[in-house]
Amino acid sequence: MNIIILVITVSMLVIAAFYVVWADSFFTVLAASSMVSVGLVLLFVLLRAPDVALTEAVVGVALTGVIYALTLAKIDLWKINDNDDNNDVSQSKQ
Amino acid sequence: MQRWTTILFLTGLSIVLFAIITPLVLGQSPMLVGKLINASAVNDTGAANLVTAVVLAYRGLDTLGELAILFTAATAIGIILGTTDKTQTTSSPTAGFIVATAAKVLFPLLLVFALYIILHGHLTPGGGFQGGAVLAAAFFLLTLADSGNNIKHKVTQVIEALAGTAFIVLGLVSFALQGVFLQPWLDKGELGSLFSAGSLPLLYLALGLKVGAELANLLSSLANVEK
Repeated sequence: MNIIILVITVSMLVIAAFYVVWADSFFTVLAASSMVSVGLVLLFVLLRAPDVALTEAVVGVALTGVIYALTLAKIDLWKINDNDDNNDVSQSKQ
Repeated sequence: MQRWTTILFLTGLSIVLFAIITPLVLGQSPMLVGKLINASAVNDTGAANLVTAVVLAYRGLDTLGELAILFTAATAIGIILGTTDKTQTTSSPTAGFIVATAAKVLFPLLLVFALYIILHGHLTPGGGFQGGAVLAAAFFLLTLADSGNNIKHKVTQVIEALAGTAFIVLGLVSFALQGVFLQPWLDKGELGSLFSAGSLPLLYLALGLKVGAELANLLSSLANVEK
Protein backbone atom coordinates (compact mmCIF):
# COMPACT_ATOMS: atom_id res chain seq x y z
CA MET A 1 0.00 0.00 0.00
CA ASN A 2 2.78 2.38 0.97
CA ILE A 3 4.65 1.57 -2.21
CA ILE A 4 1.59 2.53 -4.31
CA ILE A 5 1.29 5.90 -2.56
CA LEU A 6 5.03 6.42 -3.00
CA VAL A 7 4.90 5.66 -6.72
CA ILE A 8 1.94 8.05 -7.18
CA THR A 9 3.76 10.80 -5.24
CA VAL A 10 6.99 10.39 -7.18
CA SER A 11 5.09 10.31 -10.50
CA MET A 12 3.33 13.56 -9.58
CA LEU A 13 6.66 15.09 -8.61
CA VAL A 14 8.33 14.08 -11.87
CA ILE A 15 5.40 15.23 -14.02
CA ALA A 16 5.40 18.61 -12.27
CA ALA A 17 9.17 18.88 -12.75
CA PHE A 18 8.82 18.21 -16.48
CA TYR A 19 5.98 20.73 -16.70
CA VAL A 20 8.29 23.39 -15.20
CA VAL A 21 10.52 22.94 -18.25
CA TRP A 22 7.69 22.86 -20.83
CA ALA A 23 5.33 25.56 -19.50
CA ASP A 24 5.33 28.88 -21.32
CA SER A 25 4.31 31.44 -18.72
CA PHE A 26 6.13 32.38 -15.53
CA PHE A 27 2.96 32.03 -13.46
CA THR A 28 2.47 28.37 -14.38
CA VAL A 29 6.20 27.69 -14.02
CA LEU A 30 6.10 29.00 -10.46
CA ALA A 31 2.94 27.03 -9.63
CA ALA A 32 4.46 23.84 -11.05
CA SER A 33 7.74 24.27 -9.21
CA SER A 34 5.77 24.70 -5.97
CA MET A 35 3.98 21.48 -6.94
CA VAL A 36 7.38 19.73 -7.07
CA SER A 37 7.96 20.90 -3.51
CA VAL A 38 4.53 19.61 -2.43
CA GLY A 39 5.45 16.22 -3.91
CA LEU A 40 8.73 16.29 -1.99
CA VAL A 41 6.87 17.14 1.24
CA LEU A 42 4.59 14.11 0.77
CA LEU A 43 7.62 11.96 -0.03
CA PHE A 44 9.43 13.08 3.14
CA VAL A 45 6.32 12.42 5.26
CA LEU A 46 5.98 8.93 3.77
CA LEU A 47 9.66 8.25 4.39
CA ARG A 48 9.13 9.29 8.04
CA ALA A 49 11.19 12.46 8.07
CA PRO A 50 8.71 15.04 9.45
CA ASP A 51 11.49 17.52 10.26
CA VAL A 52 12.66 17.65 6.67
CA ALA A 53 9.05 17.75 5.45
CA LEU A 54 8.38 20.81 7.61
CA THR A 55 11.46 22.59 6.27
CA GLU A 56 10.57 21.72 2.67
CA ALA A 57 6.98 22.93 3.20
CA VAL A 58 8.05 26.30 4.56
CA VAL A 59 11.08 26.97 2.38
CA GLY A 60 10.24 25.10 -0.82
CA VAL A 61 6.54 25.87 -1.12
CA ALA A 62 6.23 29.28 0.51
CA LEU A 63 9.50 31.23 0.64
CA THR A 64 11.00 30.13 -2.68
CA GLY A 65 7.78 30.96 -4.53
CA VAL A 66 7.59 34.39 -2.91
CA ILE A 67 11.25 35.15 -3.66
CA TYR A 68 10.86 34.10 -7.33
CA ALA A 69 7.65 36.11 -7.69
CA LEU A 70 9.22 39.23 -6.14
CA THR A 71 12.31 38.96 -8.33
CA LEU A 72 10.24 38.48 -11.49
CA ALA A 73 8.09 41.47 -10.49
CA LYS A 74 11.20 43.62 -10.03
CA ILE A 75 12.49 42.82 -13.53
CA ASP A 76 9.03 43.39 -15.09
CA LEU A 77 8.36 39.80 -16.14
CA TRP A 78 5.54 39.12 -13.66
CA LYS A 79 2.22 40.39 -14.91
CA ILE A 80 -0.96 38.48 -14.25
CA ASN A 81 -3.68 40.99 -15.05
CA ASP A 82 -2.25 42.65 -18.11
CA ASN A 83 -2.90 41.03 -21.44
CA ASP A 84 0.37 42.10 -22.94
CA ASP A 85 2.79 39.35 -23.76
CA ASN A 86 5.29 40.06 -21.01
CA ASN A 87 4.66 36.84 -19.11
CA ASP A 88 5.31 34.70 -22.13
CA VAL A 89 8.72 33.09 -21.78
CA SER A 90 9.24 32.43 -25.47
CA GLN A 91 8.49 36.02 -26.43
CA SER A 92 10.47 37.68 -23.66
CA LYS A 93 13.54 35.77 -24.74
CA GLN A 94 13.54 37.44 -28.12
CA MET B 1 19.57 23.45 -25.84
CA GLN B 2 19.34 24.35 -22.16
CA ARG B 3 15.82 22.96 -22.06
CA TRP B 4 16.99 19.62 -23.42
CA THR B 5 19.82 19.40 -20.88
CA THR B 6 17.29 20.04 -18.12
CA ILE B 7 14.98 17.36 -19.47
CA LEU B 8 17.87 14.91 -19.65
CA PHE B 9 18.74 15.69 -16.04
CA LEU B 10 15.11 15.29 -14.93
CA THR B 11 14.85 11.94 -16.69
CA GLY B 12 17.92 10.71 -14.86
CA LEU B 13 16.58 12.04 -11.59
CA SER B 14 13.22 10.29 -12.04
CA ILE B 15 14.96 6.99 -12.82
CA VAL B 16 17.01 7.36 -9.63
CA LEU B 17 13.88 8.25 -7.60
CA PHE B 18 11.97 5.22 -8.88
CA ALA B 19 15.01 3.02 -8.27
CA ILE B 20 15.16 4.27 -4.68
CA ILE B 21 11.51 3.61 -3.83
CA THR B 22 11.12 0.12 -5.31
CA PRO B 23 13.21 -1.98 -2.88
CA LEU B 24 12.53 0.30 0.07
CA VAL B 25 11.71 -1.16 3.48
CA LEU B 26 10.22 1.69 5.48
CA GLY B 27 11.46 2.38 8.99
CA GLN B 28 14.42 0.00 8.92
CA SER B 29 17.74 1.71 8.58
CA PRO B 30 20.88 -0.26 7.67
CA MET B 31 23.07 2.45 9.20
CA LEU B 32 25.07 1.66 12.35
CA VAL B 33 25.37 5.28 13.53
CA GLY B 34 21.59 5.57 13.68
CA LYS B 35 21.32 2.55 15.94
CA LEU B 36 23.99 3.90 18.29
CA ILE B 37 22.29 7.30 18.47
CA ASN B 38 18.88 5.69 19.00
CA ALA B 39 20.29 3.75 21.93
CA SER B 40 22.17 6.53 23.71
CA ALA B 41 20.71 9.92 22.69
CA VAL B 42 17.92 10.06 25.29
CA ASN B 43 20.35 9.38 28.14
CA ASP B 44 22.94 11.79 26.78
CA THR B 45 20.74 14.80 26.06
CA GLY B 46 17.26 14.24 27.52
CA ALA B 47 15.61 15.35 24.26
CA ALA B 48 12.57 13.34 23.13
CA ASN B 49 13.13 14.39 19.51
CA LEU B 50 16.31 12.61 18.48
CA VAL B 51 16.81 14.85 15.44
CA THR B 52 17.23 17.78 17.82
CA ALA B 53 19.67 15.74 19.88
CA VAL B 54 21.78 15.23 16.75
CA VAL B 55 21.45 18.77 15.41
CA LEU B 56 22.19 20.63 18.65
CA ALA B 57 24.07 18.22 20.91
CA TYR B 58 26.09 15.80 18.76
CA ARG B 59 26.53 18.21 15.85
CA GLY B 60 26.22 21.60 17.57
CA LEU B 61 29.31 22.99 15.86
CA ASP B 62 27.88 22.13 12.41
CA THR B 63 24.73 24.06 13.31
CA LEU B 64 26.91 27.05 14.23
CA GLY B 65 28.51 26.69 10.79
CA GLU B 66 25.07 26.65 9.12
CA LEU B 67 24.20 29.83 11.01
CA ALA B 68 27.41 31.41 9.73
CA ILE B 69 26.53 30.42 6.14
CA LEU B 70 23.01 31.88 6.46
CA PHE B 71 24.46 35.04 8.02
CA THR B 72 26.95 35.43 5.15
CA ALA B 73 24.20 34.96 2.55
CA ALA B 74 21.89 37.45 4.29
CA THR B 75 24.72 39.98 4.60
CA ALA B 76 25.62 39.63 0.92
CA ILE B 77 21.98 40.19 -0.10
CA GLY B 78 21.80 43.17 2.27
CA ILE B 79 24.90 44.68 0.63
CA ILE B 80 23.57 44.15 -2.90
CA LEU B 81 19.96 45.23 -2.34
CA GLY B 82 20.49 47.80 0.41
CA THR B 83 18.57 47.86 3.68
CA THR B 84 17.15 51.35 3.81
CA ASP B 85 14.00 51.81 5.87
CA LYS B 86 11.40 53.40 3.66
CA THR B 87 8.49 55.19 5.29
CA GLN B 88 6.14 54.42 2.44
CA THR B 89 6.43 52.57 -0.81
CA THR B 90 4.59 54.30 -3.58
CA SER B 91 5.64 51.92 -6.33
CA SER B 92 4.18 48.65 -5.04
CA PRO B 93 0.42 48.23 -5.42
CA THR B 94 -1.84 47.33 -2.50
CA ALA B 95 -2.91 43.73 -2.18
CA GLY B 96 -6.34 42.46 -3.11
CA PHE B 97 -9.18 41.81 -0.69
CA ILE B 98 -8.42 38.10 -0.26
CA VAL B 99 -4.75 38.58 0.65
CA ALA B 100 -5.49 41.54 2.93
CA THR B 101 -8.17 39.66 4.89
CA ALA B 102 -6.31 36.35 4.98
CA ALA B 103 -3.20 38.09 6.33
CA LYS B 104 -5.16 39.45 9.32
CA VAL B 105 -6.65 36.01 10.05
CA LEU B 106 -3.48 34.00 9.45
CA PHE B 107 -0.92 36.23 11.18
CA PRO B 108 -1.74 35.29 14.82
CA LEU B 109 -2.11 31.62 13.88
CA LEU B 110 1.24 31.61 12.08
CA LEU B 111 2.86 33.36 15.04
CA VAL B 112 1.54 30.76 17.50
CA PHE B 113 2.53 27.92 15.15
CA ALA B 114 6.06 29.31 14.74
CA LEU B 115 6.58 29.73 18.49
CA TYR B 116 5.17 26.23 19.06
CA ILE B 117 7.60 24.71 16.55
CA ILE B 118 10.54 26.57 18.09
CA LEU B 119 9.74 25.95 21.77
CA HIS B 120 8.76 22.28 21.26
CA GLY B 121 11.78 21.57 19.04
CA HIS B 122 13.21 19.13 21.59
CA LEU B 123 9.89 17.24 21.89
CA THR B 124 8.21 17.12 18.48
CA PRO B 125 9.48 17.42 14.88
CA GLY B 126 10.56 20.93 14.06
CA GLY B 127 12.86 23.41 15.67
CA GLY B 128 14.70 26.66 15.18
CA PHE B 129 15.18 26.60 11.42
CA GLN B 130 11.60 25.64 10.55
CA GLY B 131 10.04 27.87 13.20
CA GLY B 132 12.23 30.78 12.16
CA ALA B 133 11.14 30.41 8.53
CA VAL B 134 7.46 30.36 9.57
CA LEU B 135 8.09 33.45 11.74
CA ALA B 136 9.62 35.30 8.78
CA ALA B 137 6.72 34.22 6.53
CA ALA B 138 4.20 35.49 9.12
CA PHE B 139 5.76 38.95 9.29
CA PHE B 140 6.26 39.14 5.53
CA LEU B 141 2.57 38.28 5.01
CA LEU B 142 1.70 41.57 6.77
CA THR B 143 4.04 43.47 4.44
CA LEU B 144 2.52 41.68 1.46
CA ALA B 145 -1.01 42.63 2.52
CA ASP B 146 -0.27 46.28 3.24
CA SER B 147 2.84 47.73 1.63
CA GLY B 148 3.01 50.55 4.21
CA ASN B 149 3.47 47.94 6.95
CA ASN B 150 7.18 47.37 6.43
CA ILE B 151 9.47 45.23 8.55
CA LYS B 152 11.82 47.52 10.48
CA HIS B 153 15.38 46.65 9.52
CA LYS B 154 16.83 48.22 12.66
CA VAL B 155 14.68 45.99 14.90
CA THR B 156 15.40 42.78 12.97
CA GLN B 157 19.13 43.53 12.92
CA VAL B 158 19.19 44.00 16.71
CA ILE B 159 17.22 40.74 17.22
CA GLU B 160 19.53 38.91 14.82
CA ALA B 161 22.68 40.18 16.56
CA LEU B 162 21.40 39.39 20.05
CA ALA B 163 20.22 35.89 19.06
CA GLY B 164 23.51 35.06 17.34
CA THR B 165 25.44 36.26 20.38
CA ALA B 166 23.18 34.25 22.70
CA PHE B 167 23.91 31.05 20.74
CA ILE B 168 27.69 31.54 21.08
CA VAL B 169 27.43 32.64 24.73
CA LEU B 170 25.49 29.44 25.55
CA GLY B 171 28.31 27.47 23.94
CA LEU B 172 30.98 29.44 25.82
CA VAL B 173 29.21 28.90 29.17
CA SER B 174 29.28 25.16 28.50
CA PHE B 175 33.01 25.54 27.67
CA ALA B 176 33.59 27.28 31.01
CA LEU B 177 31.59 24.70 32.99
CA GLN B 178 32.51 21.45 31.24
CA GLY B 179 35.50 22.24 29.08
CA VAL B 180 33.67 21.38 25.81
CA PHE B 181 32.22 23.99 23.44
CA LEU B 182 28.44 23.68 22.81
CA GLN B 183 28.06 20.62 25.05
CA PRO B 184 24.51 20.44 26.50
CA TRP B 185 24.39 21.72 30.05
CA LEU B 186 21.69 22.55 32.65
CA ASP B 187 19.40 19.94 34.19
CA LYS B 188 18.01 17.35 31.75
CA GLY B 189 14.64 17.26 33.51
CA GLU B 190 11.88 14.75 32.89
CA LEU B 191 11.82 13.24 29.38
CA GLY B 192 9.01 14.71 27.29
CA SER B 193 8.15 17.71 29.46
CA LEU B 194 8.47 21.26 28.13
CA PHE B 195 11.30 22.23 30.47
CA SER B 196 13.65 19.38 29.69
CA ALA B 197 16.76 18.60 27.66
CA GLY B 198 18.88 21.22 29.44
CA SER B 199 20.21 24.00 27.23
CA LEU B 200 18.85 22.63 23.93
CA PRO B 201 15.52 24.60 23.97
CA LEU B 202 17.46 27.80 24.73
CA LEU B 203 19.77 27.14 21.77
CA TYR B 204 16.76 26.50 19.52
CA LEU B 205 15.08 29.71 20.70
CA ALA B 206 18.19 31.71 19.77
CA LEU B 207 18.41 29.84 16.46
CA GLY B 208 14.74 30.45 15.63
CA LEU B 209 14.88 34.17 16.37
CA LYS B 210 18.08 34.56 14.32
CA VAL B 211 16.76 32.65 11.31
CA GLY B 212 13.40 34.47 11.49
CA ALA B 213 14.98 37.92 11.70
CA GLU B 214 17.42 37.15 8.88
CA LEU B 215 14.79 35.79 6.49
CA ALA B 216 12.33 38.61 7.28
CA ASN B 217 15.12 41.11 6.60
CA LEU B 218 15.97 39.39 3.33
CA LEU B 219 12.36 39.24 2.10
CA SER B 220 11.55 42.84 2.97
CA SER B 221 14.70 44.20 1.34
CA LEU B 222 13.84 42.18 -1.75
CA ALA B 223 10.31 43.61 -1.73
CA ASN B 224 11.50 47.20 -1.24
CA VAL B 225 14.34 47.25 -3.75
CA GLU B 226 13.85 49.79 -6.50
CA LYS B 227 13.57 48.69 -10.07
